[in-house]
Amino acid sequence: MDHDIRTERGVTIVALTGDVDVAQGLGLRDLLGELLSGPPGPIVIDLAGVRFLDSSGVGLFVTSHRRAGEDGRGFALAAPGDAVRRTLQLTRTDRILTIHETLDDALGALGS
Amino acid sequence: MIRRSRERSAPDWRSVLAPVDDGRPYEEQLDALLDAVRRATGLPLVHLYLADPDGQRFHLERATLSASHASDNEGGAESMTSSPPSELLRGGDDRSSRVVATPMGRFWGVPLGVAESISGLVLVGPVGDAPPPDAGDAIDALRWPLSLAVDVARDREHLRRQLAAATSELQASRDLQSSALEIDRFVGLLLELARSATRADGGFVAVVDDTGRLTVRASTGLTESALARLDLAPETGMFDWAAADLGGALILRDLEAAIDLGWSSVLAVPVQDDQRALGIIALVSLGSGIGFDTDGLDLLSTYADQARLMLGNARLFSSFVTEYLATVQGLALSLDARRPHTRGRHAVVAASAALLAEGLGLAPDVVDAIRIAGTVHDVGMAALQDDDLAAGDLDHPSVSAGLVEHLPLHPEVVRAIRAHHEWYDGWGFPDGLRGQGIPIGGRVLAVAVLLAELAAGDPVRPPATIEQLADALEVRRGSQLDPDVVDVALRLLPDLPLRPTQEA
Repeated sequence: MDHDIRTERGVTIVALTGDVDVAQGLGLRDLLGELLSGPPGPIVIDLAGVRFLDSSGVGLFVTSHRRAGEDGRGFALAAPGDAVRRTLQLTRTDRILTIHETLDDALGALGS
Repeated sequence: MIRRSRERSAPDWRSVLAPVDDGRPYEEQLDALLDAVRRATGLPLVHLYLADPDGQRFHLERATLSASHASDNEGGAESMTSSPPSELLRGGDDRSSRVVATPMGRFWGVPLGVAESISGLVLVGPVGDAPPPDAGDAIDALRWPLSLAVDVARDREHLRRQLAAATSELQASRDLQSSALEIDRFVGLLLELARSATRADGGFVAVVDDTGRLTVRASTGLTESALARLDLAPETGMFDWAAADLGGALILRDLEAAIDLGWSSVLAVPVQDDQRALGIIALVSLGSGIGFDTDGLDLLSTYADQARLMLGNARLFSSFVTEYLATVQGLALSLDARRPHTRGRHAVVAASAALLAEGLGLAPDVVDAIRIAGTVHDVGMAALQDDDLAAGDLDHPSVSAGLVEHLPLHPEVVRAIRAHHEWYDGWGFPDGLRGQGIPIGGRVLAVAVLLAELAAGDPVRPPATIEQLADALEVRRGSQLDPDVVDVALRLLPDLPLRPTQEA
C-alpha cells in the first residue's frame, strides 16, 4: 500500500493505493493517528487506488471516524471501487461511515 | 549481471493452450501459461495483469519468479524490489507491445486481446530499452494463443465460481429441509465453499450462543493453537461487533492479535437478522495478501445470506421444538395427576429408563432419547376416559409416538415410545415385534414401566418391595422382557428412582 497526502480546499486528502489489509495495518494506523492528532480540519480518504480492503482497514476507518467525530472534525471516504464498496456493505460499515462517490463530491461536502 | 544460460524452448502455441484444458486449478493454469512464456523467452520474470472492468487499470492476476533468478541476480547489477506492483494504470499506448517501467525494473509489456478490447498485459523481463530480439519474437508469436488461453481460463474460473454459489444454495436448501438443527455441519459446508470460492487460506464461522457470546462452530485452514488464541469476547475481543454505535457492523478491533496469528488479511462478515447478531463468517489470508475480488465478495455475501437463513430458522425451530415438547410433557404430567397412584409416573419412568440405558452402555445421545421417550410414552392415553385408563388402549403407543414423530428429535425417541408395549417373545403390541427386533429404547422402557407400575401399586395391589420387583423381573425374563435389560435392572434395582419425588 502506498499513500499520498495533499490539501485541497482546506481538506486533507489521503490517497491510498494497493491493498489495505492486516499486513499494511500498522503503517496506516500510524498515518491516520498522526493526521487526527494534527491541525484541525476535515480528512478525506481517497480510495480510488485501493484494490482490496479487509476488516482491519475497515476497522481503522471506523475508529478514525469515531475519533474525528469526537473532535468535531469531518471524516469521509471517497471514490471506492466495486470490491471496496462491496466490502463496506458486507461488513455493514457503509451504514456508519460517510462515503462519497467521488473525491469531488467529498470536497464539495467538506471543503471550504 | 543476469546470466542467460537458462533453458530455452521454441514457442509452441499448442503447449500454451494445453494447460487450460486439463482440469487443473485456475492458478495452476496461469502458472503453466507464464512458465511457457518464461521458457520461450528465456527471461526470468513473467507477470500477468488483467484489465479492470472500469478500463482504467490493470491488476496483477499472477506472477512467477524463476527458481534460478535469485541466484542469477546475485551480482546485483540490476536493482529490483521483491514483488511486482499490484496494479498498473492504463495509458493510450496499451494496444501495442512496449517497454514498461516498474519498481522491479524495465519490462517488455505485451497486450492480450484485440485492439478494441485489451483484456490484459503480460510483462516479461527484466529488459533494457527493448527485449533481446529472439525473446521479442518468441513473445510476439505467443501473443494470440496466450490471449485465448487466458480468456478461456478466466471464463472457466468465473463459471466455476458461479457454479459454486449455485451448489451452495442448492445444498443449503436441502439441508434446511432435511435437518434444520445440524448447524455445525451446515456452517462447515458454507465455510468450505466460501474458502474455495475466494481462495482464502482459512477461516471460521462463529455463532452467537444463548449467553450472547461468540463460539467457533466451524473452521478450516487454521491450527488448533490459532483457534485457541482467538478471543471473540464482545467487549474486549479481536472483533468489535457489539458496540451500540456500530449498529450490527463488524470490524477488526485488535490489529496486533491478527498480526500475531500470522494473518496478512482478514475479512469478517456479520451474519445478522433484523433484530440481532447471529454470528460471523471470517476468511483469512496467511501468506502474501491475496485480496478478494468482486466475484469472491459476491459469493461471500451469498454464503452470509445462507448462514443468516439457516441460523435464524434454527433458532426459531429450536425454540418451537422445545416449547412443543414441553407442551406434550405437560399433557403427560396432567394425565399422571388424574389418579393418585400414577402421580409423577412419566418422570419416574424417564429417570429409571435413562439409568438402565446407561447401565447397558448405550451412547449418551441414545440414553437422552430414551429419557425423553420416557417423559411422554403414555401421553396418547390422555384422550381416554377415566374408565378406560386402567385397561389402557392398544393404540396409545402409536398415538403417543405420533404426537412427537414430526419433531427433529433423535429417531430412538419415537421408536422407543411406539415399542414400549412390545414383548420380547413377540406377544406384545402394536406391531408384534420380537427379540432384538424390538428397538432398544422400547425394551428399556418396558422394564422401566413395569417397575414403576409395580413400585407405585394401584387400588387393588400394594406397592411392591425390592424383592417382589426382582421376582417380577425374573418371571418375565425372556417372555415380556429383554434378558439383558433385566440383568441390568436387577443390578441397579436398589438405586433406581422408582417412586416420584415431592416435586413430581
